[in-house]
Amino acid sequence: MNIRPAILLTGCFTLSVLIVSVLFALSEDKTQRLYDFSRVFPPRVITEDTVIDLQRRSYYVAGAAADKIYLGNVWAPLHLIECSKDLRDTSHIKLRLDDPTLRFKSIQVNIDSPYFFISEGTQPYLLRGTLNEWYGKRFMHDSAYFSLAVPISPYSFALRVNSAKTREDMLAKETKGGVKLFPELLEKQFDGVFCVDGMLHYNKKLEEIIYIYYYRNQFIVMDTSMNTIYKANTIDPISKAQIQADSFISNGNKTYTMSAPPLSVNKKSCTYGNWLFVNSAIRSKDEKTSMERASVIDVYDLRNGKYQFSFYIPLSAYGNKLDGLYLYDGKLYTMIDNYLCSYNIESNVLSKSIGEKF
Amino acid sequence: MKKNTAVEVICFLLILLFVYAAVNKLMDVQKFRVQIGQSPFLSQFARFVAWFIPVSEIIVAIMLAFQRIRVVGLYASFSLMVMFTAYIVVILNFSSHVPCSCGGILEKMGWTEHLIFNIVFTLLALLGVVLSSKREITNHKEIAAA
Repeated sequence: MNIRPAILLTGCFTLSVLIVSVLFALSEDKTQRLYDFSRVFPPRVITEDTVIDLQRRSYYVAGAAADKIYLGNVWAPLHLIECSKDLRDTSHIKLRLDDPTLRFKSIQVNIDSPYFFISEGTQPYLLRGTLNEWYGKRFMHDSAYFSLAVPISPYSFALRVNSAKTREDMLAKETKGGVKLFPELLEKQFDGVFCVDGMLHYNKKLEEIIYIYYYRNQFIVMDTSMNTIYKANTIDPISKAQIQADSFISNGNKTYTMSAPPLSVNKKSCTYGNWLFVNSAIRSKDEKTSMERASVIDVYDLRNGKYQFSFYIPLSAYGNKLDGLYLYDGKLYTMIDNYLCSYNIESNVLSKSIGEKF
Repeated sequence: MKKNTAVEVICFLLILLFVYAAVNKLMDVQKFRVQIGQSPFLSQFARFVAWFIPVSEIIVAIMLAFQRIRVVGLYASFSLMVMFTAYIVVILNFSSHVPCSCGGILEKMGWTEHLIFNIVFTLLALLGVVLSSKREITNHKEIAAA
């Protein structure tokens, strides 16, 4: 038998695999790099309590009220799950709308007792209803398109909008009187869209709006009139967003997109009471744990913006991606793949006074 | 004779695949370059890769179309398909960031389907090489007999 083809095929196979492996070896994974800063890990911060399997990955925490937490579903926008705080009981809720012609694209449900809010930035519209009727009605003029919206009172929203003039993102506040823009709050470093991307939160206790950037080590704390109270840095050293963006024209539409993998700094965050919890993607020089097996959470005190301590959320038992983070009344909730997990937070950890060493 | 038809069909399928893939990329080479850039380990070579891949696909397709260099084309197809498949395996298993192929949750299924699709075409190219080299041998024997 002729063995020449077998040798040639093996050669081709080996060479091809080798080329791909060399390309892979040459590329540097920025997320695996260790940066020069230190985290403080107290011995025990959280203990896992309950885990429920939601079957789907499309759920997110819409909010909490009294002793219940509510989950929204991006693929079934009018469907909510109501869970008891300890996750022992769950029930389903169907939202009804007064206008059946409304279209859904990127609906977000927010719970802020006694109301729930529905925000859809691409149409755009804002709806409101009460928690027991679950019937959403328009209550604003809906004059601005937005990419993020958070209710800050029964009659007002903090928004992130894209300026028609500059094509850059900025924060805004919508009230019954209309939309007021605050172009100076988000600081452009590069393109004004990707470089300022981040997460918007409202802290009810402190009555503060928080905007935390994805790609740099900063968060902005504002009052409900959108005046900056202070700006603070997260503990990593990434002060400048490391992103590249480019545009191309396809089918007559101009698409503006990232053209290289970005360096994520702050991936997920949540706030409750005096605290801001941030899931950081940046590893410090003394951390050996791979981020795939555990997600690190950094805790900041919102009264002064100072870093307090960190802890890990183990991932491997359920999945490998932390998709959601929510803090409510002494409990921490995470979405890991299709699992919703709850944790008890050691009460003495958070009650320790600021500046005290662990 | 039957083997010959099988090789023809395999070559036809591979030509179809490579020409379709190359034309798709070249029609929108700017978009393809940006997409390659989003890949965590092709980012630095985006400009080169964006041209190199469609051009090699076309060259391979041309080789497959001509009887005399068809065997070389089959080896090249096999190598290309192995490279694409290896790339998918690496990106799914070893990369911290799976680039978005636009579809949110669908992107994961897309990659796995793509992997199966690639393996099928890799095996087709392999089969093509095996069948056509056997044919060569029989040809040689016939010549020797004559």
